[in-house]
Order: sequence, then structure tokens, then C-alpha cells
Amino acid sequence: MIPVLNKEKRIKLNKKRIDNLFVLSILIIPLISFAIFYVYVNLNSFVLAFQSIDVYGDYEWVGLKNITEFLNGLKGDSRVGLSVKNSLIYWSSSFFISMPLYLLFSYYVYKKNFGHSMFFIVVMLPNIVASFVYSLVYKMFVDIALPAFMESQGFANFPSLIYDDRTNFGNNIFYSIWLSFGTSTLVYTNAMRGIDDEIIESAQLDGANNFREFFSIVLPLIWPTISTFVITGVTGIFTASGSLLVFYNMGAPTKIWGFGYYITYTVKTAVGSDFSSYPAVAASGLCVTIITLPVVFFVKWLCNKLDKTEA
Amino acid sequence: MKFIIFLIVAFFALFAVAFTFKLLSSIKVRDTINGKTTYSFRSITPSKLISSCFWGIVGAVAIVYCCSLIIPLAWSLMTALKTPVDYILNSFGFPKVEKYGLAPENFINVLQRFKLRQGTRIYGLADMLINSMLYAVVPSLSNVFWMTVVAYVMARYKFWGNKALYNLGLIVMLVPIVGNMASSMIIKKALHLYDNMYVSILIPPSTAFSGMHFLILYGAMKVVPFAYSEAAEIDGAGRYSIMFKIIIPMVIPTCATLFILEFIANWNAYENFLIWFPSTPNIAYGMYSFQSAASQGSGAATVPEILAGFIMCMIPSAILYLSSQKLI
Repeated sequence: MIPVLNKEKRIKLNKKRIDNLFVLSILIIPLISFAIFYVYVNLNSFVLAFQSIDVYGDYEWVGLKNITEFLNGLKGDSRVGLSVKNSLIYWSSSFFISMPLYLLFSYYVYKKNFGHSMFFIVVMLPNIVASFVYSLVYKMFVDIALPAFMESQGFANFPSLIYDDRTNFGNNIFYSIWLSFGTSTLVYTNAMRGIDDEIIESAQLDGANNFREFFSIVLPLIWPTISTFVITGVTGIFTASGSLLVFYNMGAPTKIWGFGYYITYTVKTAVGSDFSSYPAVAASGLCVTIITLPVVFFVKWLCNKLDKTEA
Repeated sequence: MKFIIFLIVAFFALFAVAFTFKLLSSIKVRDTINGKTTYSFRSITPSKLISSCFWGIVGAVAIVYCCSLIIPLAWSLMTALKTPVDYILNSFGFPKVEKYGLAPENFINVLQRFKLRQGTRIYGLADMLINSMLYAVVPSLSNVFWMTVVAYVMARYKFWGNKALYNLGLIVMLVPIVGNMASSMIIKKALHLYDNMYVSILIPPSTAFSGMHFLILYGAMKVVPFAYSEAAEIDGAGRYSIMFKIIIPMVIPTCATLFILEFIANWNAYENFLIWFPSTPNIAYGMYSFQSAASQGSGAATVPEILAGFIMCMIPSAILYLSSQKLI
């Protein structure tokens, strides 16, 4: 009996070993890629935050100098300080205006109100016709057609919303909100369609009106979807930059820079192998990550706390 | 002034329609015996009126929003068909066909003039189209392939570190690492991957076990019953055969959906080319640069021609999106 058991055990062990080899054969390449392009890149970025690079490419340890400079920049009107503040404005205006509208429009479509099917198709237009083309069409429309039209209506010298100093910041906020409805409306409407019809019908029989139904039934039941969007949205709280790259390439006015644009601009405009401006980017990125991290986890905790679907 | 009055009147008209529609649907009574629908006007309550008002406003705003999305597109289509003179004299309105005619040749002209000089090389439409196709197909296939096989082993095999790897993927998703672009640039330049699209697209994704797409595939793999693998194993199928011939074919619709989404995202990617591969432009980056040059007065094409180019750029994405509507 004992040799039979040993044989079975050996077969099991052998199978386990082959299983592990199989798993390793699948995971080895993605893990190497992760080690180089995620772990090493981020570790190098961390180290870079405490270094300086001269024009010859020599590295030197500078301790907390880069981080102190970033923190001092936040107090004043430096490029980086301004871009962090702007990002916060871009993100919060986009989040607090868009989110209620996404939910209201999705509920409007879900309840099959007037024009719901047209709305559902049109709202996906930017996704259908390629978002970059839509952005460029918008740019030309605002730059050429809108001033021409407003002039024909008696508004002489109507500015280009993108290039005028008085309007460019507002335009960037507007554009981010304006073009963001497609995917969100699709996801929220589908989440609402997943709600059991019997729940809605019984609420209506109990006399619940649309407001009550929306706030007391629909929102709590699609809360997992909402919280996923909120949590992933919060990760961009200090980096939101709107569509500055589309509108201005590398020539956006400094006063409307977002932090994401600051990073792209600094990295992109470094000439050849002159990386001397990179440590400042790494240090500011590190600080922003450290600030964002507790915010993300707090929002995640809050979303879980508010989730009534698990009860 | 007339325009503002028109806007206000149009908004109120839309509101009235949406309000009436909502109110009627809230007082609709369906006779279950003969199937007829009647309206019980007596059942109108202040609460129903307020609710209809609110959703009437939401409806009017939604329709105004739809119009705001359609107008720029309609303008670009109209302008793409205008002759240069018509465009200069009438840059907003409908083409004056009887006076200036239409200019469908804009679509042909832009194909000939759509060129981008990068360093010493001049890229034509065909070059950019090849780059677009390569960048849209290869990384999308590679990403979906690696995510699928990783999701397969993580969902269906018990191995040391499985749970840790899954949690690591979630942490990677949640932790917003900012500012690593500088480090990434240094490393990519050292590895000769900067401005080297043809090699970069062959590199597997750095986080194949993380992200929304991975979680979708992981969920799909978990749902497939283990009985299929066990039956195949009894029949003598090896691990790779079970994975590639039995389980993965069952989740092919999910893989296809994710491939289409990645394809569309990569087809539209101009930022990646602007930052990482400036010397090998794709159509999106080419159009972006072409338009930037034109707006600075140094371009080779007129505005109607550029807009004709935009319209043509929309076609592949629109065809793919609409033909895969059922999947998405």
C-alpha cells in the first residue's frame, strides 16, 4: 500500500512541478517587462529626485534640494506651482460639474425619455469618429468658424477662445467636460439597465416618484460602478491638464499649464541628451505622488463606507 | 441679439417638448384588457409637475449638448466641400453651390499635399498609414495576448505568489505614480527605444496583470468551468493545448472587444508619437502637425483641404466602431 501512495504522491508532485513550470513559462516575459519598464523606471525616478544632472550627463547627489525647490515653488508663482494649482482646478471643475451630469443624462436615457436614443448615439460621436480628429475639428471651429459666425451676428472682434488670454483657461475646462460624456454615459446607462425591473416597479407601486427612484434606488444600486469611476478619477487629481497638447502643442501659455503638461513639456523640450531639467520633474512627481496617495486611499475607504449594495 | 433670442426660444421649445413627453408618460394608463393606452389627466399632481419640469430641463440641456457635438462636425463636412473663394467669403455658412460650386477635389488635393518633413525625410500618406496600422495592430494584439495568457494562469492555476501578483496589479492600478516620464525617457534613450517605434511595439506590456482590461479577462477566465480543462486533461491534452485550443477560444469575444478598444485608442494616439516617436509619424500625428503648420501659416494646404483630410481620417475608426457595435 505504501509504495502505491508514494507513487501517487510522486505523480502529484510531478504534476505540480510541471504546472509551476508552465505558469513560469507564461509569466516570465511579462514579469521581466514589468521589472524593467515599471519597477526600474519608477525606482530610477525615485533616485533621480535626489540627484542633479549636469550638461555633460554626470549625476550628483543633492539630498532634498529638488524637493525643497518644488515645495518652495508651490508657495510662489513658479511654473510648477501654478501647474499643480491649475490641475486641481481642472480636475475639480471637471469632476464636480461632469459627474452629476453623467448620472442625470444616464438616468434620462435609462428612463427612455424624449430623444433618448438620439442622445445615446450622438454622445458617442467623438468615440466613433476618432477623438483626435474631433479635437482638431473643435480647435478649427472655435478658432475660425465661431468668430466668423459671432461677427455675422453683430459681435465684432469675438476672440478665439483658444488663443485669447481671457478665455483660454475656461475653454480648456469647458472642452474637458464637453467631450467626456461618451464612455461615462454608456457605462452608467448600462449599469442602470442591469437593475432588476421588479425593484423599480415595486418602488413605483409604493408611490416613489422619479427623484426618489433616482436617489434612493438607482444611485445606491449602481454605486460600485460610480465608486470605480470616482477612485480611478481621483488618481488624476493633481495631473489633469485638459487638452493643452492638442490646442497648443508645446506652446501653451504658462498661466494655464496643468501639472501633466508641465511634465510633458519639460521632458519633451530637453534637447538631445541634456537631462539637467529631469531631476526637478522626478522630485515634483514624487511629491505629488506622496500627496495623492492618501487622497486616493481615503476616497476608496469613503466609497466602500458609502456602499450600501454589500449590505 | 436676434441670435440670443433664437437660442432662448429654442431652449424653451425643447423644454416644452421634453416636459410634455415626460408628463404624458407619467400619467399614461394602460388598459390590460383591450391593450389601449389612455392618459389620466386627473392623476396630475404637483409632484408629477415638478418632476416633469426637472426632467424637461435635463432633456432640453441634453438636446442642446447633442447639437453642440453635431455642429462642429457638420461645419467641417460643409467646409470640406467649399471652394477656396467660398471659404474666404463665407467661412461659417452653407456652401454657396450655385455661385461657387462644390469642391470635392479637396479630398484628392489633401492626399497629395499631406506630407510631413521630419528631419531629412519626408513622410507621405502611405508611410503614415503603414505606421498607423503597425501601431494600431501590433501593440493591441500583443497587449491582448499577454493579458489573456496571464489572466488564464492567474485565474486557473494555484501557484506561489498568485494572490500577491493579483494584489500587486490592483496596487499598480490605484497608486498614481506621477513624474516618471523623465526616468522613462532616460531609460528608453539608453535602450535605444526612444524614437524607435518598430522595436518598441514588439515589447510586451509592462503591466500585463493590471488594469481594467486585465480584470475583465480575469473575470471571463474564472467563469469558464474547470470541467472543460479536466476533461481535456483526461483525453491527454497538454497545458498549452488546453489553454490555446479549449479555454481561450471560449473567451475570444471578450478578447476581440478588448482588441477593438485598444486598436481604436492606438489608431488615435498622437501624443505617444509626439513624445516618444517623433520621427515616425502616424496619421493622427501627421494630421496634428499638418493642422498646426497650417494654423501658423506655413502649411501647404487650405482649411477646406485640411478638413477634408480630417473627414477621411474619421472613416477607418467609424467603420470599425460601427461594425463592432454588437461586441462593444
